[in-house]
Amino acid sequence: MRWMWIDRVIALEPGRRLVAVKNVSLAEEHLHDHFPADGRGAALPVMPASLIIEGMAQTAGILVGHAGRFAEKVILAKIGKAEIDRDAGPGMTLRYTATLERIDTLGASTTGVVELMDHAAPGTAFAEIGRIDMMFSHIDRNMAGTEFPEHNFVFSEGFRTLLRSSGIEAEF
Amino acid sequence: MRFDLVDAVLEISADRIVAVKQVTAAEEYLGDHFPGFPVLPGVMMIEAMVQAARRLLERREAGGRLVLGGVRGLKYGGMVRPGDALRVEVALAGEAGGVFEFKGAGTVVKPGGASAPDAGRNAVAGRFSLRPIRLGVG
Repeated sequence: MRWMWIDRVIALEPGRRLVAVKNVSLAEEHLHDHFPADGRGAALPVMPASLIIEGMAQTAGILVGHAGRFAEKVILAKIGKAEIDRDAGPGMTLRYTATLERIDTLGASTTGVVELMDHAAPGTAFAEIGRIDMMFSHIDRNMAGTEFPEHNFVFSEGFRTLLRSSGIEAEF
Repeated sequence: MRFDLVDAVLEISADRIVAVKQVTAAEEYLGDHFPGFPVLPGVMMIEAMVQAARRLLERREAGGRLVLGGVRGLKYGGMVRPGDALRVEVALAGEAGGVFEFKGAGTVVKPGGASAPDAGRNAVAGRFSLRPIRLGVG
């Protein structure tokens, strides 16, 4: 698998809020392991909630990185609380909304809402299924004694492509 | 990839499991996380603990298709690189209404052994819960 857990940024209010979507598809290999047909019944593909948390981390991480003009290496440091009450299957779309609560030289805090939309359901509206609150570290300023590569490996070509294809101008 | 984040079970009892996730450069996603600086993503540490917890519940015939429903007060520490392993220790903390609560922690295992720098360093610690699957929003 690749490590891109959002497909498009659909709204950005710099320093305040970022909204992104993730389509869940049977073309994703890991869904066939989570869960395969076994003694308990037929295959039941659902997106692992650990990867929903990563979707929020990427949404919130871009918001934090953008607020600092992508000068800092922004790393997930803490998950204060994550609650995911429903599961996302193939044909559904996740929408992540991250809000920046605090940012300073050492890092940032965000709150987030996860919503789900099912293309097969009547009305096809997004409904809230979870909330995820996180803290990020600007690692060059926190992990004393640890040396990291100079280039900003966190915001690499994958994220540049994502922002460009979402129509967002960003300088790295 | 195969979504298997437990490579070996070292210890298992009724309410506690110790398991290992080996980290290798052959894992494709490490190329994106991060380019030129591969480390095990923090949420994959959570997934390793979730899969270990599921193995623990399987012994009680309650496991199987329970999924991650919540995380509380989870902190990250040392990074886990290709050649290292993550040793996870998960303990069942309680059960109510089909939801199982766990306490989990992961430490870094170095190929150089226990005396290597950063060996035994805490990589992750926190609480999480598993619940039955509830597909969709209906």
